[in-house]
Amino acid sequence: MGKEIKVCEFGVTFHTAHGPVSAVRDVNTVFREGEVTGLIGESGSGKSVLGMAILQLLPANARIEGSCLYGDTELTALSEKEMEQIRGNEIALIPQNPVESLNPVLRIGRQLTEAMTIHAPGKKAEAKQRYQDLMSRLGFSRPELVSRQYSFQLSGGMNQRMIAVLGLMNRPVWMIADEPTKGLDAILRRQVYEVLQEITMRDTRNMILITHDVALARKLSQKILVLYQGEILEQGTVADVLDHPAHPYTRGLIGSLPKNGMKPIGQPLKGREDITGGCVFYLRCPQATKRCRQEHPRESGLENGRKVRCFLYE
Amino acid sequence: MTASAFRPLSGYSEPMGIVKYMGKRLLTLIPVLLGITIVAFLLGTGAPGDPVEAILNRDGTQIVSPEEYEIVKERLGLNDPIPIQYIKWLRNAMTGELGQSFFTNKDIREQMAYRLPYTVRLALLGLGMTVVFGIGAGMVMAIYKDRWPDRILRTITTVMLSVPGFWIAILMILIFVEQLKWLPTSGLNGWKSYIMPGITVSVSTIGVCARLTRTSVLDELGRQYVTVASAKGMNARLVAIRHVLPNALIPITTFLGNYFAGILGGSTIAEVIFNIPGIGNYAIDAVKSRDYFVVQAYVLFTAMVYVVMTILIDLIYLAVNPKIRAGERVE
Ligand SMILES: Nc1ncnc2c1ncn2[C@@H]1O[C@H](COP(=O)(O)OP(=O)(O)O)[C@@H](O)[C@H]1O
Ligand SMILES: [Mg+2]
Repeated sequence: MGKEIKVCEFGVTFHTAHGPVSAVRDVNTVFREGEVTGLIGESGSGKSVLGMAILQLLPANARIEGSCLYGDTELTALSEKEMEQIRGNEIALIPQNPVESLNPVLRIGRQLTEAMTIHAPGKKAEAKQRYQDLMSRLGFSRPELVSRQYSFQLSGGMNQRMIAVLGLMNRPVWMIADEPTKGLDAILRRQVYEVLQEITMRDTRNMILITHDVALARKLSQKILVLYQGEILEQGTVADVLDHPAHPYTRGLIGSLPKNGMKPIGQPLKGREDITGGCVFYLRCPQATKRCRQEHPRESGLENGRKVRCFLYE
Repeated sequence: MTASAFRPLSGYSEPMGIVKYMGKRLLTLIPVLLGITIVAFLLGTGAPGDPVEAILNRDGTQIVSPEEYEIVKERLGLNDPIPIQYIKWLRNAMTGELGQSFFTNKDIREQMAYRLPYTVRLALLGLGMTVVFGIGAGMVMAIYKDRWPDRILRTITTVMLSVPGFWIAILMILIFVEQLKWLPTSGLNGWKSYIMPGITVSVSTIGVCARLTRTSVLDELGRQYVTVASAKGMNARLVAIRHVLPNALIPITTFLGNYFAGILGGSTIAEVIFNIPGIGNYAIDAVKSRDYFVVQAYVLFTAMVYVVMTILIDLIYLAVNPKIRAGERVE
C-alpha cells in the first residue's frame, strides 16, 4: 500500500459572523505517488484552503467535511496529537507569503533546527548538518552566516528558498507548495522553478503544487486540478487539461494566458441573475443553458481518468 | 543551479546597529533631562508663597524684622538672579547635593535614600503582580477567545480598569481590616503590610495589561509564522510560548516600563492611605508645607527615574526585538 492522498467529498466551511461560507466543496481526487499535482485556479478559488485542510491547519472557525485518506490512514479521524506527527514529518508545507512565514524575532537557524527536533528531540547536530546541506543545495553560499540572521534580513527570493529548506528538513513523504512564485519577478520565478525541480528530482516526487501560474504548473506537474469557487471543475493529465481543455472555464483560463492572446474570461453575463444551486460558473459561462442555472452538474468521467464538472460532457 | 544567481548578503553587522541606536536615543534624552531640570527648578521658585516668610513665620503669628528676613534670604541664596540660582542648584544637584529641608533641616538626600526602599518594594510588587496576573489573564483571554474564560475575564478586567485605586484601597480596608481583621491597616509590620498597597497600585494596570496582552497575542496568532510553526508539527502550547509570546511581549514591555517608572516616582495615593514612608509620601508633605527644595529634589528624582527607565526599556527592547538590533527601521 502506497502513501497516496485520496480525498472524497472533501470540503471546508467557515462559520463566520455572517453565516457559513463554503470555501471548498465536494472535492474527489487522488494525489498519486510519484506525481506532481498542479492545483490551479484564480485567487480566492480555495486552493490554499484545500491544501491547508489536508494538513488540518485552518482557523478555528473552519469545519472540514468528507474524508482524506493518507495511505490507509483517515486523517480527518486523527487526534490533534496524531496529526502533529504527520505535519512536517510525513506531509510538509512550503507556505505562501514566504516573507511572513518565518518568525521575525527568532534566528533562522533555530527555526530550521526546531522543525527536526520537534519530531526527534536531541538531534540538534543532525538538524544543523541537514539545513546546511539543504541551504548549499538551494543556492545559499554561506549557510552558517544566514542561519544566524533573521527573516527580515533576507530578500524575498531568499525567504522563498529558506521556507523550501524548512519544508525539507524531515525528508517528508509529501510536499505541499503553496503559491511558490507569487509576487516574484521573472528571474526569481525561474529560480523557484529550479528549486522545485531539484526537490522533485532529489527529495520527493510526491507534491501538490498550488499555483495561479499555469506555466509553472505545466512545467512541473503531471496532473492538473482546476479549481473555481471551491469546486474542482476539471481534472486530468497535463496534456489533456492544458492542451485540450474541456470545461468552458478551463478553456477561458487557458485562453486568457499571455501566449494565447490574453482574452479575458467574460464578466457576469447580462440577464443572469445571481443563483444558488446551479453550476458555479453559470454567471460567466458562454455556453450555459437553462439547466446550468437550476441543476448542479456532477463530475463526468472521460478518457484517461479525466473528469469534468459540466453538462456538456454527460 | 548556480549560486551566482542569488543576491549576496548585505554587509550588515549587529553590534553597529545597537551602538547607533543607543547613541541616538541617548542624544535625544539630553534635552529632555535639561528641560526637566529647568521645570523642576522653576516649579520650586515659582510656587506661591514666600519660603523666607514660611521659615521665619511658620504659624503666621510672628512679626519678622527686615534684617532677619534679609539674613535668611541671603542664606537661601534667593538674592541671586534666577538663572544663577538655577546654575548653582544644578551644579549641586549633579554632585548629589540636594540641600536641606527648610523645616526639618534634614538632609534631603539622606531622606530620599531612607524612603526609596519602601517605594521600590511597592513598585516591584506592583510590577510583579501586573506581569503575573496581567499577562497571564491576557494569554488566557486570547487562547479562549469568545469562550467563557475570555468573557468572564473581560468583565473582570473592565471593572478593574474603571475603578480608582483609592476606592479599592478603602474597600479593602473595610473588608480585610475592619470586618475580617486579616491584615494590618497601616504602618509596616512585615510583608503583610504590602498586600493592600500592592493591590492598590496594580489593579487598574493589571486590567490594562491584560487587555493589551489579549489584543497583542490575538494579533500575533493571526500571523502566518504561527501557521508555519504548526505545520512543522509543533503543538499549540509550544507555538504559543516559543513563537507567539516573544512577539506579543514587544508592545507590552514599553507599557510595563512606563508603569514601573510611574510608581517608582511615588505611588502617592497608596503610600498616603497605608502610611508607607516612601518617596510619594515625602513629596506630599513637602508640597503641603511648600518645602520647595524638597519639591525640586523630588521632581528631579522622578525625571532621573524617567530617563533611567527609558534607557532600560530601550535595552530590553533591544533584547526582544532583533529588528532594532539590526539597525532596521521600525514603526
Ligand atoms: N478565515 C476565513 N474565514 C472565512 N472565509 C475564508 C477564510 N479563509 C478563506 N476563506 C474563504 O475561502 C476562499 C478561498 O480562499 P483561499 O483558499 O485562500 O484562496 P486561494 O485560491 O487564493 O488560495 C476565500 O475566497 C474566502 O472566501
Ligand atoms: Mg492562496
